[in-house]
Amino acid sequence: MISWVIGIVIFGYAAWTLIQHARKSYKGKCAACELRKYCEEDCESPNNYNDKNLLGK
Amino acid sequence: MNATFALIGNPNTGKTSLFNALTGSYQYVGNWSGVTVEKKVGTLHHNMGTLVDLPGIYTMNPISADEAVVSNYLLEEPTTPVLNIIDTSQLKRNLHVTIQLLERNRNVLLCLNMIDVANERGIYVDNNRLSSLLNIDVTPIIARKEQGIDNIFHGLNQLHKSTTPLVLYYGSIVEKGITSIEKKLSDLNGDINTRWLAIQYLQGNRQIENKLSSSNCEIAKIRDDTEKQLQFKEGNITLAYHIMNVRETFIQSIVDQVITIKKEPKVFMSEKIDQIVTNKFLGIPIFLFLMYMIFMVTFNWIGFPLSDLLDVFLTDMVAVWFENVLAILQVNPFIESVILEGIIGGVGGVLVFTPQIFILFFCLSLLEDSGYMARITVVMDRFMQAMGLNGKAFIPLIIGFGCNVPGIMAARSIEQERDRLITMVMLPFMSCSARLPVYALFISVFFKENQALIALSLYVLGIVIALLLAKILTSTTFKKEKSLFIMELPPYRMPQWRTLWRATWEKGKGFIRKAGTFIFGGSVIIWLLTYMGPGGIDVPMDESYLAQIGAYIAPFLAPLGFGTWQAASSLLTGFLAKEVVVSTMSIIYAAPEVQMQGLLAEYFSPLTAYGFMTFILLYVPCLATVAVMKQETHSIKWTMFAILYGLVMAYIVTFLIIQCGRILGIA
Repeated sequence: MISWVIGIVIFGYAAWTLIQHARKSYKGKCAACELRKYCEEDCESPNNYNDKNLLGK
Repeated sequence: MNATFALIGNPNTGKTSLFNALTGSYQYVGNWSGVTVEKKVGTLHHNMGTLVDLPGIYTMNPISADEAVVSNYLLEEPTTPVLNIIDTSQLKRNLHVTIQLLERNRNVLLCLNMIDVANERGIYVDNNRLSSLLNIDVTPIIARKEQGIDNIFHGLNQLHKSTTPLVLYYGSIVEKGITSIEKKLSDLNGDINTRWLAIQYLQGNRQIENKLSSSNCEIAKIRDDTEKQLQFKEGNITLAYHIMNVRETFIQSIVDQVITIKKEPKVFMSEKIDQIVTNKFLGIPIFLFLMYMIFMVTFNWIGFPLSDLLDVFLTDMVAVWFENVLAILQVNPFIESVILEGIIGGVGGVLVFTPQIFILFFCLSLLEDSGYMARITVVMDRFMQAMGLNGKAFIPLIIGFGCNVPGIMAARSIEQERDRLITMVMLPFMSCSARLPVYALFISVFFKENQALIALSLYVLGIVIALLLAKILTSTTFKKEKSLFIMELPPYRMPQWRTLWRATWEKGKGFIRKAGTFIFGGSVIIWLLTYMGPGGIDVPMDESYLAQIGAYIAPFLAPLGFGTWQAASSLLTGFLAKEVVVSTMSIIYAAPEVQMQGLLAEYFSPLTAYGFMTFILLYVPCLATVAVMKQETHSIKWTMFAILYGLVMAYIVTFLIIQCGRILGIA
């Protein structure tokens, strides 16, 4: 019984940490920023890099 | 009290230090420009409300991405009181932002920071006179020493009383233009000051232009007409220049009345040191020597002795204690194995290197807080120019030594788009602290005699490869654009123990947190993959799923000298985070760290160990770095390029090292 409990706790926690890590990595730092609404364009990127503006076409 | 205050000032005036003193929270403080590229919000002491720390600006008209945040904030929060911090010894330059804030409204408390530095330079400011000339409260402070903080709280309490904005007379032509634009904006909702908006629009503030885009055609014509009339009368000058000139004249009249110079100008200590450390010939050797000394402390002198003690503690005490407890609880072998081999083996294998991580962070904080880091950008400017960039791009790269993610974020302070993008793509080659445990592991086994030198060589190799990438990009894709470098050098100062300790702890605790979270999770999953295989559970390691996965990749790594499934699977798991490479190895070799070192010697030679470390340094960025790069570049193409370029460079450079080493007869 105790083995089951420890096993569930360990594997549950392990899965949770990995999901959290992937989720946080995906969101990036801006997701947690209280003032993201003041950023230019959108929170994640003040400058939208695309082929057009980079290559000056 | 539920008020919000904004903290605004020039770069490197001590905003973040003041923010920390007022809120009691800790935010990263650096003795150089561009530390704050995002906004931070903290709760003020004495229940005074919240304080927003905004990036440093020289003017309201944004040049770089982070500066745009300030204009946007002031637009969206037109009545928010402002705490304006200025560097007392640079009063004249700093007042440009102050004047623009006062033109918005007088809800401004002016903090004269670093009065001690100004006084040392013989500069004395009459606070009362300045206060009466600007009609706002003025408070002298020393933010780093938390002196004068109580006066700020008192000043903030008084802030809501005066809202009449400062009105500067810009001459009849411009005033007519301002009035005309104000009329067009009369139906604008909210508390926003239309005169301030009009002036900002006339001086070419892009954020204001965007805000007023609905009535852009009419007011754009007013601006053009105003500029033409101005040029007809005053010659070939722009509106922005004229407006700045009027402010400059006003500021000069204030400065003349409030500043007293009590010493003859002389060469200051900072300038004397700079003549040596930024010297054309001595700059780089001094930088390399300091880095070498850092690695001597990190590895030879303090790091490894402490690491050995920690290892003894983990293997002889923690592991034994767990073994006893598990025996008492009579858990099954599966659970016993996951705890002892997976968790204690995997997480413990990484935790052993905590001392090195903390020492490295301490040393980097020391260089930074002393003001030396900012000089490195000047020293590196020549190299960066040769690569088509400039020294400012080196700031995010240095931040990347701690962790690549904030390094990529810090690239926001770079004005030119192309420089910013190139810097972000270069960043994964900066050897972040997560790679340190891998170096520490291999260096402790194979390079006991030259620990610091080997670590230094890897860091330098990363910089060289990054510069090479910059050269390729600037001479191909982006060759048409030019870059420029303006860098303000902060004065040297004696680092404060409290700042150093806080900086070290804040960065170092992230490492411990990682160990307790996803390194834990990763270790459990990796252990599971070694425990299970196509033949069932509890299979021999060589028949496990992890061995099978590694075996697919191993042949590709064979030319590099480490074509084993163990090395291949370790590299694979390193994508999650570089520290996980050490966890994986600790689990695969199923031995505590001390014994694992012996096993490593069977699988690697000093040459292939160096090759493996080089591969770790250069190959794919970790998951968090890839994600943040994707967000900041908004381009899958460039993110993929960074990954593939890293992989290709890792392969080529490691191959060359191994082959050259073999030709030279190195084992």
